[in-house]
Amino acid sequence: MPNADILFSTGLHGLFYMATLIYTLFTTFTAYHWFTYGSSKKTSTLSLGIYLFVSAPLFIAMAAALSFL
Amino acid sequence: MIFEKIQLEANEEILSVIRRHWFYVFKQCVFIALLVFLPLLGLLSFLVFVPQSNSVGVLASYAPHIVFLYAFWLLINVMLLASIWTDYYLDIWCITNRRIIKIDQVSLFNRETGSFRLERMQDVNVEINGILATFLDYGTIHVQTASADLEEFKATYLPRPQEIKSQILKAADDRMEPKSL
Repeated sequence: MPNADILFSTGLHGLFYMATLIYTLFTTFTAYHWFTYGSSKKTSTLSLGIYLFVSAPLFIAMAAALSFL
Repeated sequence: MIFEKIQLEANEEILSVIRRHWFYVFKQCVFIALLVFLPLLGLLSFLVFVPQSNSVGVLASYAPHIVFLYAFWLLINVMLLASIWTDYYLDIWCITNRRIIKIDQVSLFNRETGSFRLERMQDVNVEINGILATFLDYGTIHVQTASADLEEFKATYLPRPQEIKSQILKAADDRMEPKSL
Protein backbone atom coordinates (compact mmCIF):
# COMPACT_ATOMS: atom_id res chain seq x y z
CA MET A 1 0.00 0.00 0.00
CA PRO A 2 2.73 2.58 0.73
CA ASN A 3 3.96 2.14 -2.87
CA ALA A 4 0.45 2.83 -4.15
CA ASP A 5 0.30 5.98 -2.02
CA ILE A 6 3.64 7.20 -3.40
CA LEU A 7 2.46 6.49 -6.93
CA PHE A 8 -0.80 8.35 -6.30
CA SER A 9 1.07 11.29 -4.79
CA THR A 10 3.51 11.44 -7.73
CA GLY A 11 0.56 11.27 -10.12
CA LEU A 12 -1.10 14.23 -8.41
CA HIS A 13 2.14 16.24 -8.62
CA GLY A 14 2.31 15.44 -12.34
CA LEU A 15 -1.33 16.43 -12.73
CA PHE A 16 -0.61 19.75 -10.99
CA TYR A 17 2.25 20.61 -13.37
CA MET A 18 0.19 19.53 -16.37
CA ALA A 19 -2.80 21.59 -15.18
CA THR A 20 -0.56 24.62 -14.65
CA LEU A 21 0.85 24.30 -18.18
CA ILE A 22 -2.56 23.83 -19.82
CA TYR A 23 -4.08 26.64 -17.74
CA THR A 24 -1.27 29.04 -18.65
CA LEU A 25 -1.57 28.29 -22.36
CA PHE A 26 -5.37 28.44 -22.29
CA THR A 27 -5.35 31.74 -20.38
CA THR A 28 -2.81 33.28 -22.74
CA PHE A 29 -4.79 32.32 -25.85
CA THR A 30 -8.12 33.30 -24.33
CA ALA A 31 -6.85 36.68 -23.11
CA TYR A 32 -5.32 37.29 -26.55
CA HIS A 33 -8.72 36.64 -28.16
CA TRP A 34 -10.58 38.83 -25.66
CA PHE A 35 -8.24 41.76 -26.20
CA THR A 36 -7.85 41.33 -29.96
CA TYR A 37 -11.38 40.46 -31.07
CA GLY A 38 -13.44 41.79 -28.15
CA SER A 39 -15.57 44.87 -28.59
CA SER A 40 -14.59 46.71 -25.41
CA LYS A 41 -11.26 46.91 -23.62
CA LYS A 42 -13.03 47.52 -20.31
CA THR A 43 -15.13 44.33 -20.65
CA SER A 44 -12.08 42.29 -21.67
CA THR A 45 -10.07 43.56 -18.69
CA LEU A 46 -12.96 42.87 -16.30
CA SER A 47 -13.42 39.36 -17.75
CA LEU A 48 -9.74 38.56 -17.36
CA GLY A 49 -9.74 39.98 -13.81
CA ILE A 50 -12.70 37.83 -12.74
CA TYR A 51 -11.22 34.76 -14.45
CA LEU A 52 -7.87 35.15 -12.65
CA PHE A 53 -9.55 36.05 -9.36
CA VAL A 54 -11.61 32.84 -9.47
CA SER A 55 -8.75 30.58 -10.63
CA ALA A 56 -6.14 31.81 -8.13
CA PRO A 57 -7.78 30.27 -5.00
CA LEU A 58 -8.10 26.96 -6.86
CA PHE A 59 -4.36 26.89 -7.58
CA ILE A 60 -3.66 27.82 -3.96
CA ALA A 61 -5.95 24.99 -2.80
CA MET A 62 -4.22 22.52 -5.13
CA ALA A 63 -0.74 23.60 -4.00
CA ALA A 64 -1.77 23.49 -0.32
CA ALA A 65 -3.29 20.01 -0.76
CA LEU A 66 -0.09 18.79 -2.43
CA SER A 67 1.99 20.03 0.51
CA PHE A 68 -0.06 17.81 2.84
CA LEU A 69 0.54 14.64 0.80
CA MET B 1 -10.20 45.63 -30.67
CA ILE B 2 -12.68 44.23 -33.20
CA PHE B 3 -14.04 47.52 -34.56
CA GLU B 4 -10.54 48.56 -35.57
CA LYS B 5 -10.23 45.29 -37.51
CA ILE B 6 -13.55 45.64 -39.34
CA GLN B 7 -12.58 48.08 -42.01
CA LEU B 8 -15.60 50.24 -42.56
CA GLU B 9 -16.06 51.93 -45.89
CA ALA B 10 -16.31 55.69 -46.29
CA ASN B 11 -19.62 56.95 -44.80
CA GLU B 12 -20.38 53.51 -43.41
CA GLU B 13 -21.92 53.67 -39.93
CA ILE B 14 -22.50 50.94 -37.42
CA LEU B 15 -26.21 50.88 -36.59
CA SER B 16 -26.09 48.15 -34.00
CA VAL B 17 -23.96 45.38 -32.58
CA ILE B 18 -25.91 42.31 -31.54
CA ARG B 19 -24.88 39.42 -29.32
CA ARG B 20 -26.82 36.32 -28.48
CA HIS B 21 -29.55 36.38 -25.84
CA TRP B 22 -28.43 35.97 -22.20
CA PHE B 23 -30.43 32.74 -21.97
CA TYR B 24 -27.91 31.06 -24.32
CA VAL B 25 -25.17 31.67 -21.72
CA PHE B 26 -27.44 30.90 -18.77
CA LYS B 27 -28.35 27.48 -20.21
CA GLN B 28 -24.70 26.48 -20.47
CA CYS B 29 -23.91 27.90 -17.01
CA VAL B 30 -26.61 25.70 -15.48
CA PHE B 31 -24.90 22.68 -17.04
CA ILE B 32 -21.55 23.80 -15.57
CA ALA B 33 -23.19 24.30 -12.16
CA LEU B 34 -24.40 20.69 -12.32
CA LEU B 35 -20.87 19.54 -13.18
CA VAL B 36 -19.50 21.48 -10.18
CA PHE B 37 -21.77 19.58 -7.78
CA LEU B 38 -21.28 16.17 -9.40
CA PRO B 39 -18.19 15.12 -7.35
CA LEU B 40 -19.87 16.31 -4.14
CA LEU B 41 -22.78 14.05 -5.00
CA GLY B 42 -20.29 11.20 -5.45
CA LEU B 43 -18.79 11.87 -2.01
CA LEU B 44 -22.23 12.07 -0.45
CA SER B 45 -23.29 8.75 -1.97
CA PHE B 46 -20.00 7.23 -0.73
CA LEU B 47 -20.84 8.38 2.80
CA VAL B 48 -24.38 7.05 2.51
CA PHE B 49 -23.69 3.65 0.96
CA VAL B 50 -20.46 2.70 2.76
CA PRO B 51 -20.86 1.83 6.47
CA GLN B 52 -20.44 4.92 8.69
CA SER B 53 -17.45 3.65 10.70
CA ASN B 54 -15.38 3.03 7.55
CA SER B 55 -16.37 5.82 5.20
CA VAL B 56 -15.50 8.85 7.34
CA GLY B 57 -12.10 7.40 8.25
CA VAL B 58 -11.25 6.61 4.62
CA LEU B 59 -12.32 10.07 3.47
CA ALA B 60 -10.36 11.77 6.26
CA SER B 61 -7.16 9.89 5.37
CA TYR B 62 -7.52 10.99 1.74
CA ALA B 63 -8.63 14.57 2.49
CA PRO B 64 -5.67 16.29 0.72
CA HIS B 65 -6.17 14.08 -2.34
CA ILE B 66 -9.88 14.88 -2.42
CA VAL B 67 -9.27 18.62 -2.00
CA PHE B 68 -6.67 18.55 -4.78
CA LEU B 69 -8.89 16.63 -7.20
CA TYR B 70 -11.94 18.79 -6.46
CA ALA B 71 -9.92 22.01 -6.96
CA PHE B 72 -8.62 20.53 -10.24
CA TRP B 73 -12.20 19.72 -11.27
CA LEU B 74 -13.31 23.26 -10.42
CA LEU B 75 -10.42 24.67 -12.46
CA ILE B 76 -11.59 22.69 -15.50
CA ASN B 77 -15.08 24.14 -14.97
CA VAL B 78 -13.70 27.68 -14.70
CA MET B 79 -11.92 27.13 -18.03
CA LEU B 80 -15.18 25.83 -19.54
CA LEU B 81 -16.95 28.96 -18.29
CA ALA B 82 -14.23 31.09 -19.89
CA SER B 83 -14.85 29.24 -23.18
CA ILE B 84 -18.59 29.89 -22.92
CA TRP B 85 -17.94 33.57 -22.25
CA THR B 86 -15.48 33.74 -25.17
CA ASP B 87 -18.09 32.23 -27.48
CA TYR B 88 -20.73 34.73 -26.29
CA TYR B 89 -18.47 37.77 -26.20
CA LEU B 90 -16.79 37.28 -29.56
CA ASP B 91 -19.82 36.16 -31.62
CA ILE B 92 -21.39 39.30 -32.99
CA TRP B 93 -23.72 40.51 -35.67
CA CYS B 94 -22.90 44.00 -36.76
CA ILE B 95 -25.52 45.89 -38.76
CA THR B 96 -24.21 48.88 -40.64
CA ASN B 97 -25.99 51.17 -43.09
CA ARG B 98 -24.37 49.21 -45.93
CA ARG B 99 -23.98 45.59 -44.88
CA ILE B 100 -24.37 42.98 -42.23
CA ILE B 101 -21.20 41.54 -40.74
CA LYS B 102 -21.32 38.23 -38.93
CA ILE B 103 -18.41 37.16 -36.74
CA ASP B 104 -18.57 33.65 -35.37
CA GLN B 105 -15.98 32.38 -32.91
CA VAL B 106 -16.48 28.65 -33.46
CA SER B 107 -13.64 27.62 -31.16
CA LEU B 108 -10.44 29.21 -29.87
CA PHE B 109 -8.63 28.84 -33.19
CA ASN B 110 -11.59 28.69 -35.50
CA ARG B 111 -13.11 32.01 -36.42
CA GLU B 112 -15.52 32.69 -39.24
CA THR B 113 -16.27 36.15 -40.55
CA GLY B 114 -18.76 36.91 -43.28
CA SER B 115 -20.61 39.88 -44.60
CA PHE B 116 -23.10 40.73 -47.28
CA ARG B 117 -24.31 43.99 -48.69
CA LEU B 118 -27.84 45.09 -47.94
CA GLU B 119 -28.51 45.46 -51.68
CA ARG B 120 -27.96 41.72 -52.07
CA MET B 121 -30.43 40.84 -49.35
CA GLN B 122 -33.52 39.08 -50.62
CA ASP B 123 -35.53 38.07 -47.59
CA VAL B 124 -35.42 38.16 -43.79
CA ASN B 125 -37.21 35.48 -41.76
CA VAL B 126 -37.64 35.26 -38.02
CA GLU B 127 -38.22 31.98 -36.24
CA ILE B 128 -39.34 31.98 -32.60
CA ASN B 129 -39.75 28.40 -31.52
CA GLY B 130 -40.95 27.30 -28.08
CA ILE B 131 -42.38 28.67 -24.86
CA LEU B 132 -39.09 30.03 -23.49
CA ALA B 133 -38.19 31.69 -26.78
CA THR B 134 -41.61 33.35 -26.85
CA PHE B 135 -41.51 34.61 -23.26
CA LEU B 136 -37.85 35.60 -23.20
CA ASP B 137 -38.07 37.04 -26.72
CA TYR B 138 -35.24 35.36 -28.57
CA GLY B 139 -35.14 33.54 -31.86
CA THR B 140 -33.39 32.67 -35.08
CA ILE B 141 -32.98 35.04 -37.98
CA HIS B 142 -32.48 33.74 -41.51
CA VAL B 143 -31.36 36.22 -44.12
CA GLN B 144 -31.51 35.09 -47.73
CA THR B 145 -28.91 36.70 -49.93
CA ALA B 146 -28.23 36.78 -53.63
CA SER B 147 -24.59 36.04 -52.98
CA ALA B 148 -23.18 33.13 -54.97
CA ASP B 149 -21.01 31.68 -52.23
CA LEU B 150 -23.28 32.33 -49.26
CA GLU B 151 -27.00 31.92 -49.85
CA GLU B 152 -28.25 32.17 -46.29
CA PHE B 153 -27.10 33.96 -43.17
CA LYS B 154 -28.41 32.37 -40.03
CA ALA B 155 -28.03 33.39 -36.40
CA THR B 156 -29.61 31.64 -33.45
CA TYR B 157 -30.58 32.92 -29.98
CA LEU B 158 -30.77 36.54 -31.08
CA PRO B 159 -32.58 38.84 -28.63
CA ARG B 160 -35.63 40.78 -29.87
CA PRO B 161 -35.53 39.18 -33.35
CA GLN B 162 -38.52 41.18 -34.67
CA GLU B 163 -36.78 44.45 -33.81
CA ILE B 164 -33.60 43.26 -35.53
CA LYS B 165 -35.59 42.26 -38.59
CA SER B 166 -37.21 45.72 -38.72
CA GLN B 167 -33.83 47.37 -38.34
CA ILE B 168 -32.33 45.30 -41.17
CA LEU B 169 -35.28 46.00 -43.45
CA LYS B 170 -35.17 49.73 -42.66
CA ALA B 171 -31.43 49.86 -43.32
CA ALA B 172 -31.96 48.00 -46.62
CA ASP B 173 -34.77 50.37 -47.62
CA ASP B 174 -32.64 53.41 -46.78
CA ARG B 175 -29.82 51.92 -48.83
CA MET B 176 -32.05 51.32 -51.85
CA GLU B 177 -33.81 54.70 -51.72
CA PRO B 178 -31.14 56.90 -53.36
CA LYS B 179 -30.93 54.49 -56.32
CA SER B 180 -34.62 54.69 -57.07
CA LEU B 181 -34.57 58.48 -57.16
